[in-house]
Amino acid sequence: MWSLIARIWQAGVAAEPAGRLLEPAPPAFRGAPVVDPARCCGSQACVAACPARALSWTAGATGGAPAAWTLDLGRCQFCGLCAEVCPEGAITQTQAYALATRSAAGLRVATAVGEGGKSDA
Amino acid sequence: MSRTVLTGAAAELQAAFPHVPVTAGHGAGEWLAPVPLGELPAVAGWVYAQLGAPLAQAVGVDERPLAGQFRLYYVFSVPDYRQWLVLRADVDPLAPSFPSVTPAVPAAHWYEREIQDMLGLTAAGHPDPRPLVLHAGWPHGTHPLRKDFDGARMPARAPAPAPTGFHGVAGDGTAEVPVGPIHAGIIEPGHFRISTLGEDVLRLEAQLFYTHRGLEKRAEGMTVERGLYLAERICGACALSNAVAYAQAVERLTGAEVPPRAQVLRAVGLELERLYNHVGDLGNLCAGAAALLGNMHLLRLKEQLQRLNEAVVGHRFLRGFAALGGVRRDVGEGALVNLLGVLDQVRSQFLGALDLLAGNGVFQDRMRTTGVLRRDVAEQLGVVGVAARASGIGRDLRRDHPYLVYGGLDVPVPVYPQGDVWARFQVRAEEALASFRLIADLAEQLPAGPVQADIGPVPPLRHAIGWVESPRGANLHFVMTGPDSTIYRYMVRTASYPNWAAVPSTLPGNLVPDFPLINKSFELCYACLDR
Repeated sequence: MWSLIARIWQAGVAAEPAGRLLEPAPPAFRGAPVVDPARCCGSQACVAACPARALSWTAGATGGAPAAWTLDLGRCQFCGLCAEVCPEGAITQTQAYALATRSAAGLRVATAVGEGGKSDA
Repeated sequence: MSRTVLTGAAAELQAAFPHVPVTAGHGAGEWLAPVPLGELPAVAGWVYAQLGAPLAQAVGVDERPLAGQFRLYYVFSVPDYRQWLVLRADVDPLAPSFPSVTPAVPAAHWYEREIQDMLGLTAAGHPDPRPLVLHAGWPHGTHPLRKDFDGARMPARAPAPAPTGFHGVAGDGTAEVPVGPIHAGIIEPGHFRISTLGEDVLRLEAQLFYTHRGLEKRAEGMTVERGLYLAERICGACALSNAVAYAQAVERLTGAEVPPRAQVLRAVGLELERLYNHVGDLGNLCAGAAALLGNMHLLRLKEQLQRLNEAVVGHRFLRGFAALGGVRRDVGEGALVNLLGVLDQVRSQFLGALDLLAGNGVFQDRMRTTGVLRRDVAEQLGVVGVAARASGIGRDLRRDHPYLVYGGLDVPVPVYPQGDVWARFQVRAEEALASFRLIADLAEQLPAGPVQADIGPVPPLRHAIGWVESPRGANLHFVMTGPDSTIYRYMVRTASYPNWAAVPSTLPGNLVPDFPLINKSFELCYACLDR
């Protein structure tokens, strides 16, 4: 019995206090990728490489509207390939993990990138 | 090109069957023997009986667009020579049937039923030719792995016939207890039919393949690079084992060499996978006997190990680590020091939990003599991994067909003859303790250098196997490229494949409440089996 009590004492409290739940993830953690709008050149290398078809790039409407780089977090596997293949190093895989939204549409995150129509794809 | 000299089992096979031209396959140790279809059972039976080589995998491929034939590949493991013997036979599309190998090699049973379902080739003389993969309602005569079946289209559902061919039981005091596919817990679906007389189990029958997702079909046409991300997601608990086995198959296809640092890092990851699985599985085993104190302690430790995975590799289930030609990212010095520190601390608590459970008489009584898997049954059905080692069969791919750096490591292979739940508990506990030490040894010998190499061009029309000893046992991945070097056929057979077939034999003679305990003592993967 005493060894059992010693074991309980040693194990301590396993439940995490609420404040600890939203601590940053460790540096190695694979979180959501983000794009640097200034660096995206519209090569669409990321779109081609994505195993989950989570990425799309649409040219801006005529008149100089910016292009849109869209990531569907509902499809994203957080593998980080997009960041690896980007020729301009425009994509960074962050440690962001608090990604829940209240609608499916909210999972599709569009970022305005580059200058409208600039593409060699 | 000079003729390769046949060695070991390949030489013996050639001597026994001089008219079968045995040639070297791709990758060291692989040998290919094209066998006339009518002689397939005789040759397979000879390999199994005379060479003592267990059947490791059997694959059916629709090669009609390539060679005008269907082809069957039976892969046998010969640990004494560290060789794989692959028997290949052609099946004429106009006579789509083949002589079943199962009467001579019982371990072939499920592979042949799967080939029947998925390719529509009849296994003539198979002792149990019922459908295995396709459930009631699947349209008759539609075979998903045929090349003319469009995987993107949903076929029309056929009206389901009467239930599935369970034998069941009848008589005074008997009952048929159905369990699942929806279970009492967040676990995968499978249906079990327990025939009982009072509380005693007379027979267990199972219907699996509820999580069949058609992954092998989905892989066809993918580049080998994209295939890795599919391999990683066949299963959650064997994510890294499957990814590495797949990567190794592709690397054998291209002749790529994985840099030494990457080999050690892969091994560290694989041992981390073994560790969190074994600790968690022991916890689940406790739950099977309602030994909740043990369950809680071990699940607490499993959580710490999964956080460790995240800190070292970036993912709790070790996804995103394996790459073709190595690993995706290096592991820094700081992360390694932290890794060893956490492992040290988890290990001492793990020993404490084991101690606690060893002293619990009720729990010990529940485990001993329960759910015995007989050695002869395990042998004939080709059982692997923990279940095999707990039934007296000392097999472990890390020692028998060494890969990565395991050839140079002292990998203990604990073997227990009893075959009961307790034996499977002990094997896992010893292997987990061994993994703590192996990781420390690996970290110590980690060489400098790159962590990934270019695998080079992918040759067309070539096949190779890759293998890893996952926490449950031997995982084999068969990868074949097509004329455009994309994946033409991908067949995954994990440890759960042969082992699931053996589970029903362990129930008779036990009580109904022993069913969850026995199931958890095997802790097999449904997703890995079903694909």
